[in-house]
Amino acid sequence: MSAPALAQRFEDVATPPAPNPGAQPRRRRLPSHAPLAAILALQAAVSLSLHNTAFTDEALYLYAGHLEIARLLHHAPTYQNFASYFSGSPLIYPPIAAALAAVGGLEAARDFSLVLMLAATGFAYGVGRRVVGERAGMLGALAFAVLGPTFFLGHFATYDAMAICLLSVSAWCATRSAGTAVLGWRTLAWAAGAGAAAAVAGMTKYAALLYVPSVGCLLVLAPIREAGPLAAKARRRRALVRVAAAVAGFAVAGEALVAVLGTSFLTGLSSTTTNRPDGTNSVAQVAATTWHFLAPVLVLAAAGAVLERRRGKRFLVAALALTALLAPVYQAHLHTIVSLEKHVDYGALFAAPVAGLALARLLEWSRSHLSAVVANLALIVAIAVVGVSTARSAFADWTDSRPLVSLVESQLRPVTGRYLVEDATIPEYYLESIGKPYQWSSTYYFGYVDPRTHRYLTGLPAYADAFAHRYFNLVVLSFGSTYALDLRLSALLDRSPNYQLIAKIPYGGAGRNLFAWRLRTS
Amino acid sequence: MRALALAAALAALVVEHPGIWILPVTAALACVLAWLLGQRGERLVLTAAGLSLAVAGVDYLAWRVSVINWAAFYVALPLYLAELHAAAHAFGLHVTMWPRRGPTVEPVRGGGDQPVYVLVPTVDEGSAVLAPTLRAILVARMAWLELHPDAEITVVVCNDGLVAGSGTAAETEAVAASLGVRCVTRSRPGGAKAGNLEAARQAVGATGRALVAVFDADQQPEPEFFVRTLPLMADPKVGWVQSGQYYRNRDNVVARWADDQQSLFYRQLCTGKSNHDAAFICGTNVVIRAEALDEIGGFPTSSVTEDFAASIRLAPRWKSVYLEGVLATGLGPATLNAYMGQQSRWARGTLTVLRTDWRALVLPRRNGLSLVQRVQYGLAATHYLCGLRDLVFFATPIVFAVTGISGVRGATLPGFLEHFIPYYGLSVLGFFLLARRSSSARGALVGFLAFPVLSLAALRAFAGRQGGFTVTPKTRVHARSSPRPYLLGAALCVVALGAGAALRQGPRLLVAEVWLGYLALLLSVGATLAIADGKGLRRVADLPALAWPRRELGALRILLGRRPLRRAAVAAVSAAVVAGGAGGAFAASTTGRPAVAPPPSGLPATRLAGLSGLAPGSSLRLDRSLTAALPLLAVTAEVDGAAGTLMPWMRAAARDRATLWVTLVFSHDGRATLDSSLTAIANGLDDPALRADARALALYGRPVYLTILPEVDRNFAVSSAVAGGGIPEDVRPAWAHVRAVFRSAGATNVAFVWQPADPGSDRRFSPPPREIDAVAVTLFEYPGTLWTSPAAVLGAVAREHPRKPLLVLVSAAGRGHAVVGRVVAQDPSLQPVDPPPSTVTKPAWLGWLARALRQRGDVAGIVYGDAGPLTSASARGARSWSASSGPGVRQAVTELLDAGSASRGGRGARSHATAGAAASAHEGGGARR
Repeated sequence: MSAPALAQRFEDVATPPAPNPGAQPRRRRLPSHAPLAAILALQAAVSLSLHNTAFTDEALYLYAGHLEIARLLHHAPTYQNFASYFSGSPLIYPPIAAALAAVGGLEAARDFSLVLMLAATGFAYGVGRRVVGERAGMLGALAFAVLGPTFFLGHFATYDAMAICLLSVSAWCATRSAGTAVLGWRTLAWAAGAGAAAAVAGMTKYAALLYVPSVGCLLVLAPIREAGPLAAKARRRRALVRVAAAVAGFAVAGEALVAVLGTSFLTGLSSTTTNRPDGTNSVAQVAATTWHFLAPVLVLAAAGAVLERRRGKRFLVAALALTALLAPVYQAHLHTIVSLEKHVDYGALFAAPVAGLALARLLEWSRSHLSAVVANLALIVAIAVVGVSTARSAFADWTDSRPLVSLVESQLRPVTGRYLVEDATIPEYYLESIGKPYQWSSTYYFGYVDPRTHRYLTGLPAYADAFAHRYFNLVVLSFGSTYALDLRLSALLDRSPNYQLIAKIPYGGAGRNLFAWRLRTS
Repeated sequence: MRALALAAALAALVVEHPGIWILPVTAALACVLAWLLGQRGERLVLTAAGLSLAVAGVDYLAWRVSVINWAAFYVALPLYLAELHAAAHAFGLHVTMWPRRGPTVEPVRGGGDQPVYVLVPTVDEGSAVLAPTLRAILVARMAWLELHPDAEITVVVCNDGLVAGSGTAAETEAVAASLGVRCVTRSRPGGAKAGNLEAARQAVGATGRALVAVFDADQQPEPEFFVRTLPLMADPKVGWVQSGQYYRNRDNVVARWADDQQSLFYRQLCTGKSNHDAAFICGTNVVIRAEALDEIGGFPTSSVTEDFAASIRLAPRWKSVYLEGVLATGLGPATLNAYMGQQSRWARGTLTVLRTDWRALVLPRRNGLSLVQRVQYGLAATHYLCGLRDLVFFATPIVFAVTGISGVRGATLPGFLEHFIPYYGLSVLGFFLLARRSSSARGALVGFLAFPVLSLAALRAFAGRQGGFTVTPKTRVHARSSPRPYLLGAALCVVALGAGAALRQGPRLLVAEVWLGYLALLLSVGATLAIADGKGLRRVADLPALAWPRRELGALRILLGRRPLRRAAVAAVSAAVVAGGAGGAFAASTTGRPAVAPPPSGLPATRLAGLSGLAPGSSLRLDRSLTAALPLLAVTAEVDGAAGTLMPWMRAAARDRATLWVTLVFSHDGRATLDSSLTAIANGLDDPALRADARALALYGRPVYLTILPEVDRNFAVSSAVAGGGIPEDVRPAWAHVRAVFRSAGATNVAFVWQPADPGSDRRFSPPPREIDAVAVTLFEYPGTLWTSPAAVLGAVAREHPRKPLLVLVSAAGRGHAVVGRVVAQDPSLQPVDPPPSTVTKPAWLGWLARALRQRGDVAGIVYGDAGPLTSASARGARSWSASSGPGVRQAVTELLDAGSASRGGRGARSHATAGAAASAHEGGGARR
C-alpha cells in the first residue's frame, strides 16, 4: 500500500468515524404516556389477581340492578324499595353493573370497576400533571395506583369505583378550567363539567359529596398555566366565575338526576350517610384502620406538603393532602369503620399528586446514581407489596360463599320453595336463575302472617310461627352478624318435629360452621 | 436512604410473602422509574428484564428446592446444580451488561517513546497463514511510524516449530527473513504458547518499560491497530489493551457458527467486563505492558489459557481496557472437529485456572480483586461448566422417561409453569435483547453441541490432567466431521420419548417429553451442521458479514436473519417437529375419538343377554355352547369418576362388540350427599361430573343404554324423590336436566333407561314418555320372600310404558314362597305347571321367566345379576345369588339367557352370539323385596 493511501486510511481511522445513520440504532422515543400505560397495566394485573366470591354488597347491588332493569323494561316488581337503604342511587350504578353481569357474570361487573379505577388513575395523573408537574403527576398516579384500596376497588363491584372515577373527572375538569388562560366559554364549560361530574358522583354514591369542596379548591387554586402574572383581584374574580359556573353545572345535573330518579333517595342518603347512626368503633380504631390502608400516601403526602416551597401552590398542596383525612375524620365522628377501606381511596385520589411530589423530589436527589435508583425502585416496590397485601387481605375479609351457595342450590326448588338464609343476598344473587325474590328470607328482618289468625308477626315470633307452619323448605344459619338470633332459631329448629338438620359444614374458618335444616317429608 | 429503601423492600417481601405477581410489579415499576430517569427503548426494557429476572430466578430456584426429590439425590442434586449454574449465568449476563461507566482512560496524543515488541507465536501454521499476518503487522507498524517517526516497533516471530517438531520451523524462519522481521526459534520446550512467548520476550528483551503486542499467526491487524491501542498505554496504570477477535473465513460453515458464538463475547460481554474493570487478555490482538508481565513472572505457563490466568493475576493492580471495533481478523476453526478441539482447550484452560487460582477469586486478600472483578472473573471461570450442565440437561429427561427416576417430586404442572415460565421467558428475553445485535441462535446451538467435549474437558481439568496445547487448525486438513454422534443422541431422545409415552404419564412426563423433543431437534440440527461440514459447504453470500451487524434490522429480521422466508420455513418445520413429538406423545397416551354412533335401537334384531357382578375381562362359561362373549355388559358407576370406572368396560365392550348398559348413581363414595338430591341434580350441582361422564361415553362412540335416577320412586336410592325432603315432582326436572347435559356434551349414542323400583306403579314419578328410551325391569328375588310372577310384572310394566323396549335385570337366591296360586290365573307362563307348587326353586322360577321372555316381543335384553343386589360377586352371601349356586341353576341361567338372546317372537332359535365373559358389579342397584 502506498504511503498516501496509507495516510489517507490513517486519517480515516485517526478521526472518529462519522456515525453511519444506517448503522446506528434509531432511538425510539416512547410516547409520553408509556409510563402511565405501565402503571395502569400494573394496577390492572394486581386487581385482576384478586379473587373471592361476591361480597354481600356486590351481590345486593347486582341483584338490585337486575330487578331494577326488569322493573324498567317489564314493570316487574322489585319486592323492596332499594333507595330507602342504599348508600347510592339504585338507578345509576346497579343497573349498569347488572347489565354487564348478565353478559359476563360477576367478573364483568368487577372488570367494569377496574376500567373505572384505571380511568381514575389516569385522571389523577392529569390532575397531578397540571398541579405539581409532569414527573410528580406520574409518580402521584403511581402512588395512587399501588395503594391497597385502589387495587381492591379495581375488582370490587360496588358504587365506589364509579364514584371515584366521576370525582376524578370532576377534579380534572376543575384543573382544566383553572388552567385555561382566557376566561372564556371553554373555561366555563370545564367548570360546569366539573360541577356536573361532582353531582353525578354524589348521586352515584352519597359519600362522594364529601369531596366536592376539594374539587372547589382545585377550581379556585389550581395554577393558571400560560396566563402570565395576574392581579390578585383578577384572580379572585376569575375564580369566582369558575365557581359560579361549577355550581350551576352541579345544580343543573343534580336537578336533572332528581327529576329522573325521584326523591326517594333522600331516605337512603339520610340513613346511610348524613344521619347514619353512630357505630361502636373508637377513634383509635378508625385511626388504625386509616393507617393500615392509607399509610404510604399519608406519609408521602405529608412529606410533599412540607417539601412544597412555591408560595402559590403551598395552600393548594396542603388542602389536597388534608383531603386524605376527610373520610377518616368523618367516620371517627360517626364512630364507625364500616367501608372505611373504600372511603379512604376517595381522599387518596386528591392527595396522590402531593405524594407524587415527594417521590419526585426523592428521585431528583438520586437520579445520577443507578444504585440509588434501584433503591428508589425498592421503596416503591415495598409500597406496592404492602398495597397488594392490603388489597388481598381486604379481599379475603369475607367468607368464600361457595359452600353456602352449593348447599342452598342442592335444595332449591324453583317457584314453590321458601328459604331462610342468614345472608340471603348471596344465594339470591348467585341463584337468581333458579329462585325468585319472594322465595328468600333473611335473619335481618322477617315478617310473617299466621295462616290461621292472620296476624302479622315480626322477629322471633314470626320465625317460630313459620317453622310451626312448615313455611320454610330450608333454613341455613351461619352464626355471623345475627349470631344471637341464630342461636335462638337453631334451638327452635332442633326442637321442631318439622325440620331435620341435614348439614354442618365448615364455613369461614376459626371453627365456624354452616348449619342447614330441611323440612321433613310429611 | 438506599439501605433503608432496600431494607423496606426486603421486609415487605419477607413479611407479605408476595406471589408471582411481584414479577410484573417489579418490571412495571422498573420501567416507570427508568423512563422517568431518561432511559428509553432497549435500555429501559433491559433494566426491567434484568430486575425481573433476578426476582423470577430467586422465585424459581426457591420453588425448586421445595420439590427436590431427595430420594433420588443422585439425579436431583446434579439437576438442581445445573439449573443453578444456568440461572447464575443468565443473571450474570445482565450484571455484566448493566450500564456502568468504566475506568476512564484518555488516549494521549503523541507518545511513541516506549519500545514496542510485536510477538507472533507460531507452531505449524506455515507461510500461507503467517506471511499475510506479518505483512498486515508491518502495514500497521508503518501507520504508527507515520505519526511517530522516532518510535520503535520490533516484529518478532516466536517460532515453536522446532520444539513441536512440526517441520515448518525452517519455512517460518524463511518467511520472517523475507519480510525483514526477527525470528526467535526456541529449542527448549515447555509452557506451550505461553512458554514460546515468554522465551521470545526474554530473548528480545521485551521487558521493563517496553510494550508487548501479541498476534496469533492467523490474526491480521488492521492498519489502525497501533494507532488505536498504543495511545491508551500512555496511561501508566493501564496494564493491557485488548481488542476483539473476528473470523474472516465466515464462508466456512463451522467458522461462521463459531463466529456467531464468540461475537456475543467480543461485541457485548468484553465491553461490559471492561466497564467493570475486569477485561480479559484474550491471547491475541492485545498490547500488554511488559512491566506488568514482569511483575507476575511473565506469561503464566501453568495453563493452556495463559491469557485468562494472566488477567486474574494482573487485574488487582492494573487497569484493563477493551477496545470495541474490528482491529484484527483471523481464521476460525475450519471443521467441526477443529472447533471441538478449540472449545476443549479453552474449557480445560479456564477450568484449570479455576482450580489453581480459585483463592484469588474467593478468599479475601489485601490489594486483591475487587468484588465486581471477582464476580466477573468468577462468571468467566465457571462458564465452561456449561458442558457438564448441558450433559445433565440431556441425561435427566432420558433417565426419567426410561426408568421413572425423577429429580423432582411433588410438583404440579401449574406450579411448574407458574414458576418456570416467567423465569425462562425472562432469561430468553434478556439473552435475545443482549445478543440480537451480535450473535444468533446458531451461536447458542453450537455451544450446546460441544457439551460432550466440554464435559470431558471439565473432568480432565478437575482431575489435574491439563493436556497439551493444540493449535486450532485454520484449514480443512483434519478428518471431516461425522453426524453420527448427533444422530445417535437424537435417536436416543426419540427412543426415550417413545418409552416415556408408553411407560409413564402425568405432568412430569409432559415436561420431559417436550424437553426431549427439544433436545432431539437441537441434535438433529447439529447433525445437519456436521453433514454440511463434511461436504465442505461454503456460502459466499455470507462473506461480507464481518461488518458489524446492521442495527436497523427489525425484530422479525433479527429473529429470522437474512433469509427470512427460508428461516421461517425452517423454524416452522422445527416447531412442527417439536409440537408433533409432544402431540404424538400425548396422543399415544390417549385413545382416539371414534365417530359417535346412534343410541341403541328400540328393539335389536337379536335380544341382548349378559351377566353382571364380575370384574371386567373375567370369564364365565355357563355352557359349552356359549362360546362367544355375551352381547350385553351391565355396569354401575357413581357419577363422580364414572369415566374412569367405565374405561375398562368400554374397552371390553368394544373388544367383544357388546352393548354397554350403564347405571349412573348419584352417591359419593357409596353415600348420599346433598348433591345426590333431585333438586341438586336439577339445579346443576352434579353437572361437572355428568359432563365428564357424557364426554367419556361420547368418546366411546358405540351405542349405550344409560340408566339414571334408578328406583327413584321408592326411597331405596340416594336420589329418591321421596327421601330427604324430596317430592315426586322433582324427578322430571332432574331427568330432563341430565338428558340435556348429555346431549350438550355430544353423547347422542346414549339411550335413557327408566328403571322403577315398583314396576307398574311408577307413573306418578316417571318422566314424560318422550324422554324415556327404554324401561328396565328389576327382578331380584330374595330367599324366603314372596316371589313375583315374571310374566305379570313384565305385563304390568308394558302397560305402564307402552311401546317402550324392556331391559330385564334378574337374580334370585334360595327358594321363594308360592306366588303361583295367586297369580297363576293371570300368568299364562305358569299354565304348563301342574300341579302348582307351594314353593318355588330358583331353577324353576328362572324357567318361568325364560318362558315369559319367549312369549314377549318387547324385551330388548336380559342380564342375570351374578351377585344379585350385592356390590360384587366376592361380597358375603353373593354365592347364593350366583348362576352357579346350586344344581340346575347353571342350566337354568343358560336357558334364560338363551331365551333372552333368541330372536323375539317365541321362535326359540338359539343365539348366534352368546357366551363367554364379562359382567359387572351392580353396586347401587336396589332390590325388590
